[in-house]
Amino acid sequence: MRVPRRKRRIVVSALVLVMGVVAVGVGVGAWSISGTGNGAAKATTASSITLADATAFTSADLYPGATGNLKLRATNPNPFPVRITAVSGNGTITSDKGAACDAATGVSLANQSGLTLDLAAGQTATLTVASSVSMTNASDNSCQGAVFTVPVSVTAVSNA
Amino acid sequence: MRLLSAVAALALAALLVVALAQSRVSGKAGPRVRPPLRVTGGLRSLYPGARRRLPLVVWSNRGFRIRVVSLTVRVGNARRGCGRRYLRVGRLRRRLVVPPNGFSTVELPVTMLLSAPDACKRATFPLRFMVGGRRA
Repeated sequence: MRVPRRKRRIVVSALVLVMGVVAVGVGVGAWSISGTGNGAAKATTASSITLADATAFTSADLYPGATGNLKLRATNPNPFPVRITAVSGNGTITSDKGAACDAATGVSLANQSGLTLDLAAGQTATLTVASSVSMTNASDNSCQGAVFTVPVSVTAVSNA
Repeated sequence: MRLLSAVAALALAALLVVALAQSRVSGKAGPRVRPPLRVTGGLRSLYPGARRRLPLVVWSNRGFRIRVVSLTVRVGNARRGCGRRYLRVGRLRRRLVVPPNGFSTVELPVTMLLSAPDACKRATFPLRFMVGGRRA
């Protein structure tokens, strides 16, 4: 049977197209490989900065009318560095001189913010909060040579 | 006319072959076919500002070497107030080839933003891995 030339051309074109589809399809199907999976990333929790007795690190820079430094003995128990950014008073200031001085220490703490007191991961350090404690003339005479305990709370952020 | 029918039959056969080929290797195959590649991995102890490496294992159940051409990680929201934007996962930068019926490991950089809020404490970010490869 003789097929007309036009019809033959159409058939050949269709065949070429089909072969192309097969080639591309099989190629993509055989060579492209995919997969999926699930996982999780968990954040740790932050432990509080611990504060300890810093009396061994104090210096006698307070007298009536003067402003002095606050010493903090701080420990960062976290596995990442932190920065203490604020210190604020958290209770009554007492002394090691007894009731008379405690009744009238004349000492006060000015709350501090915008601090950059850095602690490395796991580090314990003595930090100085400069010019944050002041003494007035209201301080009892028995407070001479006293070491004052200033209860504070600190605010810290990750410094990683 | 007979020739046209033959061409149509051939086209049908071709489509069938393509469909079969796709179903054998696609990761989205039916329940009977296991995806050729699988990715597992995760990490813990993230904190604001943390820069860590996310260890991933790419498994293959095919009997030929596969070159990984794409490996992406989609991070989901951890919880309210701790969205996925606080965790960033980097891209695959190196050549990775998975051996036949074996696995390869790779690490992607992960960063928890310093601005991550308290809501992210102990939060778990779900991760969705997508991998694409070619026969090596």
